[in-house]
This record gives sequence, C-alpha cells and structure tokens, in this order.
Amino acid sequence: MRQKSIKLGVLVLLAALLASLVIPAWAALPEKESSLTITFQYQSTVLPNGVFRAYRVAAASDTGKYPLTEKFLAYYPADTGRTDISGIEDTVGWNALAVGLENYVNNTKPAPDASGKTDSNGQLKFEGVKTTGLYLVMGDPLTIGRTVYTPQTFLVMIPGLKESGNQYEYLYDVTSTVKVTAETRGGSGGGSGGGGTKPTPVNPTPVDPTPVDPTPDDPTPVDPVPDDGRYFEMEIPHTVIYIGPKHRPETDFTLHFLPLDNAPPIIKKSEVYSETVDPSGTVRRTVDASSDAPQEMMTVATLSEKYPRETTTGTITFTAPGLYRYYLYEDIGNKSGVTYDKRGYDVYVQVTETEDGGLTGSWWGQVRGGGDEKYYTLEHVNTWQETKKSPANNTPTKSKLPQTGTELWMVPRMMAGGCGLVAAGIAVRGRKRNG
Amino acid sequence: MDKRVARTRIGTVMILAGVLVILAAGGLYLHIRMEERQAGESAAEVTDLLLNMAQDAPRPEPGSPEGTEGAEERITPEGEVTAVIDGETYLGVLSFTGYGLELPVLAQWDFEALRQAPAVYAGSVAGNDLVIAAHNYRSHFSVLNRMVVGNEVVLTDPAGHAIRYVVRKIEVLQPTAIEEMTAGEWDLTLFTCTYGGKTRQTLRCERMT
Repeated sequence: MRQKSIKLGVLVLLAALLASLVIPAWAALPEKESSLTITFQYQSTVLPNGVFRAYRVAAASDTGKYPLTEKFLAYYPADTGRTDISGIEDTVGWNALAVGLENYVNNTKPAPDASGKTDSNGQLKFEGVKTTGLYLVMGDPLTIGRTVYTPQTFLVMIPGLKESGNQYEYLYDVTSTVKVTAETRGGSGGGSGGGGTKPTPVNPTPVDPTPVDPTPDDPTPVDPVPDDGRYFEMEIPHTVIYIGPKHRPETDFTLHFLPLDNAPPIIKKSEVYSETVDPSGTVRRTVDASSDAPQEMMTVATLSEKYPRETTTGTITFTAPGLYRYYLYEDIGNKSGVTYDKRGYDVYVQVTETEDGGLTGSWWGQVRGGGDEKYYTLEHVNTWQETKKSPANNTPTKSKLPQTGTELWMVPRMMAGGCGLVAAGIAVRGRKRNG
Repeated sequence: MDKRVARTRIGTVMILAGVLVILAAGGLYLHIRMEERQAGESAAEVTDLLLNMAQDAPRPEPGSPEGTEGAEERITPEGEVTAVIDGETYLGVLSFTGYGLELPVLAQWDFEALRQAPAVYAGSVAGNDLVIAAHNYRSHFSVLNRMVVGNEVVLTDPAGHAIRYVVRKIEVLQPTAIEEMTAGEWDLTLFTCTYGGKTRQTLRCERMT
C-alpha cells in the first residue's frame, strides 16, 4: 500500500514536472527515432546565429535510473560507484544537475553529440539527436549590438510527455525554448526570458523598479558589477546523501559554503535568501545573517529518503579574472545513530577572460587534506545505523518483553481449586458418617 | 474412634482451606479491578490534559492554556513535541477509532509507568518505528484482543499533530521475541500480554500520509 502510494506520488510529481520543465516521467520507453528542436528568443527578439551544443548525458530508462553515457561516466567520482543519474525528485535537483554537468563539460571538454546555429527564426533542429535519452544543451553568449544574450544550460529528456485528455503520450519530436538573460554592455538594463530548466539567475543589474534598499547600517553595500559591466555568474552544486535502513529518522544536514580570501560573496549583504520548503524532503536555504561580509551560504537539507539531495550554492557573481577559493563543509551534528561526513572541500573557481573581453570560468573541488585529486561533484555522504536502547533506560529485562498481563487468569483457577478443596473436605467428613 | 476424629479434622481443614482460597480469589479479582479502575481514571485525566493542549496549540500568548495547568510542552532531540505532567513525560494521546478509547502514552517505560498508562517501549514517531506497550487492563490495551486488521489508530501529540495509523497485521509473539518486536519494520507496533501472560498480542500498523 505504502509502495503504491510512493509510486503514485512519484508519478504525480513527475507529471507535474512536465508542465514546468522539460524533464518528464515515463513508465516504458520504446526505442524510436527522435529529434530535438530549440528556440532561441529573448522576449519578442528572435536570436539567429546562436551556437548550441547538445550532449547525450544518459540513456532514457523506465526504472527511474538513467545510466550515464560513456563520456559522462566520470561525472561522479569513481569511488562512489555511481554510474547512473537517479533519485532526483524536484526542480532544485535537476537544476543542480544541469549546473554540475555544465561545469563537467567545461572542464573535460567532451565532444558534443550534436551542434549547430539557430536559423533566422531563432530555431535549431539538432541533426545529431536521433535517439532517446537525457540531453544537456549548452549555448554560447550571443552579442547583438551592445546587448549580450546568454542562453542558460538546460536538460531535456527525450521522449517528452504530451498531455492528451487524462492520459499522457510520448513525444519523440521535442521542442524546447531556451531561457535567456540579456545584458547591455556599458550601462544598465537586462532581464531574462524564455523557458528551460534552470531558475532565473540573480540579475546583476536589476531592472526591478523597487530594488531592495541596503540595510541602514551598511553604508557601502557590495555591488557585484563594476562599471565596465563585465561579470560571470556561476552556481556550484553539491549533494547530501543519507544512507541507512528503511526507517531512518528524518535528519537535518547543515552545509556551509564559505568564501575565503577575496572570493566574492554568494549573496549581497542586503539580500535575504530563502527557498521553498518541501514537506516531503526539504531543501531550505538560509543565510547566516549574523556574520559580516563575506557572507556564507548555509544550506539545510532535511532528508529521510534514500535518494541524494542535490542542490546548489545559488548564484555567485565574479567581476574579474582570478582564482577564487571557497570552503564547503558539513556541520557534525549529534543525532543519535547518524555518522556525519567530516570531509571539507576546498572549492576553486578559475575565472578567465574570453576572446571578446568577457569572463568565463570553471570550478573544481579538492578534499582538504585528501591530496590533489580534483572533484567535479561535491558530496557529503551520511549514514544512519539504528542504536539499541540502553538497557538501564528502557529495557530492564534483557531477555524478555515486559510482563503486561494482570493476574486475572489466576482467579478462576483459584476458585476452582478452592471449590475442589471444599468438596474434598466434605467428602472426607462424609466418609466418617458412613463409617 | 481416633481415625474418625482425624478424618473429621482433615475434612474441616480442607473445607476451610478451600474457603480461604475462594476468598483469596475474590480478593485478587477485586484488587485487579480496582487497579484497572485507577489506571483508567489516571489515564483519563492525563488524556483530557493532553487533548486540551493539543486543541489549544499553537497558543497565541505564552503560558498554559485553560485546562492544562500543570502541563508543560517540551521538544525532544528528535524534534518530537512531548508534554510533562506531574513529572512524567508524555508523547501524546492514542485513540482507537471505533472503540471509544483514548489513552495517554508515556515517553519512557518502566513497570511502574505501565501501571499508569501505555508507554513507549522502543523507537520513535520520527523514526517510523514506534513500539508501545501497555497492560492488558480493560481500560488499557485489552482492546488489542478485539481489534482487527484495518482498524485505525490515531496518535495526537501535545502540539495537535495527529498521525493516522492503520492496523495491517496482528500476530502473537513469544515474550523472548524482543528483536522481532523492535525490528523497526513497522511504523507503529502495539503490544500487550495475552490472557495468561505467556505471549504478547501484537498489532502492526502502517502510517498513513
């Protein structure tokens, strides 16, 4: 019954994802010829000549686990033994995965499965996409006049699902709209538009007519964007894993992402960052408001499910080339039975100049005190083992369950015994009379 | 003559002994019923307090709401809300839907505690492995002998959170089956002694979302 409920819940969740994402759910996946077409457009502006690449990250599957393709097998560290994408339950997880894969591609430079430019209608049909699977789509920024249009990397599953009455049908010819941010060089302005799987990034030059005022006690609020308008934005994903028997208790794991040296803060001082709380398995982000700049991001992941919880730092804005360093660590809690992952990661972000004078960057992590090995996925693996209750507290009898019965059962036996004695006594006395 | 006298005396002693045993049985019966009655009254008082707390939560202002004097809310390291009443910590109220029975649940068990109310034997609500034990008093867990698969049990904590459980399995375990009883495979387990006390009547329940 419970398993049915969970399966139903997963189906409903995935069906809901379909409405807002390009990541659908399926029960069975017949092999079929497929295609992927994207539209590159910012608000009403069609964007031709946009360069895009598509990478087949994983095969489609009917088990909820998507086996990684050969070129992405190294995405997860070898010592984790993970060879598939699984357990991602919400948009946060998919977004974090997209960010992580983007970084992996930037670092390892695998050959794309398909690439091309958008046509005069801003559309591109990837000729190389012919089979089902999970695809990562990445594009280059496009400059038109003084405006730079930056496409957001996203994941798309083929086949998709199409709602048909009360049922869903597989859609093998998938069309997806790229989410785009626009920024005008040397001045203000910008915004975002389009669709996709990534959240709208923090706009470095907000057009919000009512921007948040700096806090009164902060006379010099940090502006992440200098006058020349150059900036590079990045999110760094990390994963919290909680392993143990089926009925492990729900537990909060608190992770800190701390800027070191001259690394830019993840949020501005005046901002209050929060994220929706999901009652079934929460990722909620808060900001350590008590600390002075540079501020750290603190992520609290509440886990009771067996699946890893993938999340990201939130957007970090870099405005100059350089090597930046952060420290990612998990609080060692005191929950009974839980073994916390004590690893801390030094996370490096290398920001460099592009040929056209812009900025780009990539990141990697290294376990502090763990050698020079580079990690492109940052994981904290926690385990839970049931602890037996102390006999002194709760189990005074070691070998038996407590005796919870009354002695009522003795009453009829005693009555019978007493009556028997009386009867026997009368009988004995009766013999005397007879004699 | 001597033999006759002896037989008469033996017969008289036997009759007297029989009468004493019958009286003792009657006394034991009355004692058990009084103990059950006291346990029921004590449980009912605490149940009222706990349900008042649950009904009034969350409180608009600090302090005890009406009808909960002497009760204090606390949160365990596992995040469970408990109530302390007269120095005893209670997990909440267990309601047996359709049987008209509501019982407080003590957060920790010992033999003295079990005379007052059902008590947590092992596990926790958050861990979905809660095991509750109680005497088979008529006012406590003798109801377990009448319940059937599909019956509903509701656990309401002092903060007013109600968790529904449905009975999925009924089994009789040996008194030595501690590991089986506390294996954590069930969201909620209720047990008490069977009549005679040699085995344990055990109800396995699944938490409903």
